[in-house]
Amino acid sequence: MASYIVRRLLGLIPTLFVITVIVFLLMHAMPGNAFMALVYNPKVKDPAALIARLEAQNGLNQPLYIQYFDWLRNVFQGNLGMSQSLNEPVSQAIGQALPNTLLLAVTAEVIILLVSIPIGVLQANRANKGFDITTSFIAVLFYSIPGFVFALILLLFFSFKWNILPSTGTVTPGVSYSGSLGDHIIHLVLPAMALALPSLAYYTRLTRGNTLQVIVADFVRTAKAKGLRTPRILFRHVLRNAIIPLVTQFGFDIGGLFGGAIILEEIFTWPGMGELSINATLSHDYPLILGSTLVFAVTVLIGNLIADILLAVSDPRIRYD
Amino acid sequence: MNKRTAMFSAAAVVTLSGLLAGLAGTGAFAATKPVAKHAAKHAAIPNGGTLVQTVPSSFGVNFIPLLDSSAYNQNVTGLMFDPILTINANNQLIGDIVQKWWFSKNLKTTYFKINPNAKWSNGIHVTSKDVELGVDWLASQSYNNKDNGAYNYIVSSIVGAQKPLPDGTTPSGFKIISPTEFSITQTTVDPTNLGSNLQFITPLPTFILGKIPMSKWSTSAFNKQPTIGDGPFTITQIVPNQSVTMKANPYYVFGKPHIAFNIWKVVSPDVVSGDLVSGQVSIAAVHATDFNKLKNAPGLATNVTPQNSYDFLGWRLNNAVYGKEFSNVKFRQAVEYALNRPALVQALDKGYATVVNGPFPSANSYADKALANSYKYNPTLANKLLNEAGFKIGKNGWRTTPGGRPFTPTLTYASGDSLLQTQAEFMKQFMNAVHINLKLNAPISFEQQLNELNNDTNGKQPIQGFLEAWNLGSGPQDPRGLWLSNATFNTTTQDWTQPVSVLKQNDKLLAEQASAAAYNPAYRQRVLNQWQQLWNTQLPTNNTISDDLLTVYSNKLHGVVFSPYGTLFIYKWYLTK
Repeated sequence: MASYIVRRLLGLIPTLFVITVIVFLLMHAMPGNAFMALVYNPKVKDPAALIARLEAQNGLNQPLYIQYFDWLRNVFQGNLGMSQSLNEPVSQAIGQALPNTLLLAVTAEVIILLVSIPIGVLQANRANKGFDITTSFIAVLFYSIPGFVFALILLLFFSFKWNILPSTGTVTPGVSYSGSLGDHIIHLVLPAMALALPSLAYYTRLTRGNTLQVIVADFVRTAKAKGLRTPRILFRHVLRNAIIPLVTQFGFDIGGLFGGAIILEEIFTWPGMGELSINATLSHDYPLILGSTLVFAVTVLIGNLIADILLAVSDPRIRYD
Repeated sequence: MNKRTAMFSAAAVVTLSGLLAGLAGTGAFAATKPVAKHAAKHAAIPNGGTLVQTVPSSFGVNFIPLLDSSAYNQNVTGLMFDPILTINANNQLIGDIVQKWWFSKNLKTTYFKINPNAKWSNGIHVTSKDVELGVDWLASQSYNNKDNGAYNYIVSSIVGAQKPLPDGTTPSGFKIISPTEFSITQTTVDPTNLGSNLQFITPLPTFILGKIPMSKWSTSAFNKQPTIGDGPFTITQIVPNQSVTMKANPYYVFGKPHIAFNIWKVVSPDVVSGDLVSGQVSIAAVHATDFNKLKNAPGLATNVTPQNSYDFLGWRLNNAVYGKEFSNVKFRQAVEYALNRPALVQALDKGYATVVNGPFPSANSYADKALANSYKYNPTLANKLLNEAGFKIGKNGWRTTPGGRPFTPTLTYASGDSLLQTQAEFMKQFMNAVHINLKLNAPISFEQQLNELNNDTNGKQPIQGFLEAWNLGSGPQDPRGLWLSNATFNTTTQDWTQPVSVLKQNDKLLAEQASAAAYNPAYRQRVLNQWQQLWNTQLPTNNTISDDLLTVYSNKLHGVVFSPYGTLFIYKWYLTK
């Protein structure tokens, strides 16, 4: 397994290289750069000279391949460059944003797993009965509604109408409890729910389907014959087998949740990687675009790797060596 | 406020009444009168409370004044650091950190007297040394060569500051007379310099920044969270990319603000209206659609203020395909008559906008009121002018160029704004109605539009007609930055390639409004009116409408001074329970 992980990690390098080259070329194919807007300040006596100086300072007057390899060399030295729009190191901007996105994605994933797995198992156990039909209908309904619609509905009721949960940010500024655990949690509820609800429905359906396949297996019948209680059979024996596809899906979803968080972060003004990436793209902030792309790419690739590893851990029949 | 295109500070000029007050030695009254009024009211007004204002997207963390060009950062530094002079709601220069100012006989040197109440938030007086540090910073090599350097223009008119100076070097035109008096000598006599440039000089605390080499300022702890300021509020907490919390400065030059805390919070424009209703935000500008919905919402008050900005339809007069046609003044006049601008006001802004007929919107104190009724919607006259100019209507119903070629100009506009899309569609309809086969290009990014406008010396970029907007920002106006024939915008972005005689007249009038004689406000206004009339005849751009600023705020918030130049005098605002 260890050698497999090392091989997979080494395999990430060419993939990342290709991703960054593509993003770099696409980024430079867009006309203009972060300094172009200075032209629109009529007080600046010689905007062309100012822009030329800023471009030279940031290496934008160099041929593209030199710019790319300069960036790559700096990355290997742990330097992602300076954000041209924020005027601060890219690593610092990402360092502030990444934990927020991770917190949001992990919380959403926890909500998904804690809610969907028990419901899915119970649905399978009571297949085609009232509980199954009702919760399946709700699950399909949730699955068909995009996260940003949930976001707006949740905001409308919980924040705007009832004013019991904040609409934006991760902490309440200017109060004594600012930044406390409780403060963080109340800010996390709405965006995490909006991110979790559509996936929650999907996971519920997945768990139900897998459980229905396992529940008719011989070992389940044997367990019943031995007189084991239904909850024990379901959550100890059936679930361990039914959960394997979910574990794989969990790994793949890490990247998916990162992507899904982009729109929701914008709506909830959640200062994460999504908002950072959008602002970087809109302002043509090349170092920040590349830095955030790198983080997204690494997250998706690592997510896939985790999925493979979890699959091997949860299913003894799978061996990578 | 969140206009669809370029947001920038426009060229500013001195407000002459303020200048003359300074010349006559009565500048002090301009500064002290509001203070006295404020002090008298102070006792009756409740103090305390927290004001929450919004910015639409996250900002960097550079808070040394003028180091960062981000407008959002400047919201914070604008409350933390006061400049030497400011403006009132009538666009007149008034005292701030500086209480009085007066001029030498040759008008090249301005003398300044610091307000005795001007203190840093730790109670230490603001001195001429602090002002000197602010000047040195903008003139320094570190600021100009290493950091942003975008605001060097503020000091570049001072003798000795035409090129970046070694760090810590004071331009020879800046002299300290005493701890509370200093003078600035400029290279030329120019009545606009005080209002457009020197006004923005911002004192910096020598007892902190004076001990740090300028080359290290951008990475200093003070830049990341300043501990001292001379503005109405000082920073107490920064949550990166989310909020900046500020508390009232007890030593503020005009007295401690009534409101105890001000929070700048990053809030998506999508949720601002909901946050206003729920009370999570105290004051914010909204679009007309939301404004009408919020007008009757409980707990909220509203305000409509004309803005110092406008939208326009531009034509690339040097365009390789149709530049000759666009250069015909009759074409642009015909377009102006063909635009149903009152209809645009209703369609785009639900009536909250005004038609613009000159280079200044009507809210601007320099706007020539005589132009208000020019170019009323008249497609018949538009057709007549086009016919006279030789744009004949062909068999297919569309006009041809005077040379007989098909005339199918295109219109380019920036993506990402549905209102801009609607505006473009209106333009197409208006042009089609006078038989001009205007076609809409697919929307492009604002950056791409800028790029194409600014790199088109041979006229071969795809842009022919385009939609843009100017926000003339706060402060008195100096039109030279935009409209001199050799100004950057006229050689690149816009066009003013009129006959030489017109250009000469344009430049002469613009020079005249900034001459020594223009220290007389009536004279300057007269010259500016002549220039606006010339502009209105020549129409280098087809200006359309100026949106109103629609503000919604808590009905517990009082004392807000709304103006075309923004909301002013936050220290006067107060909150009731």
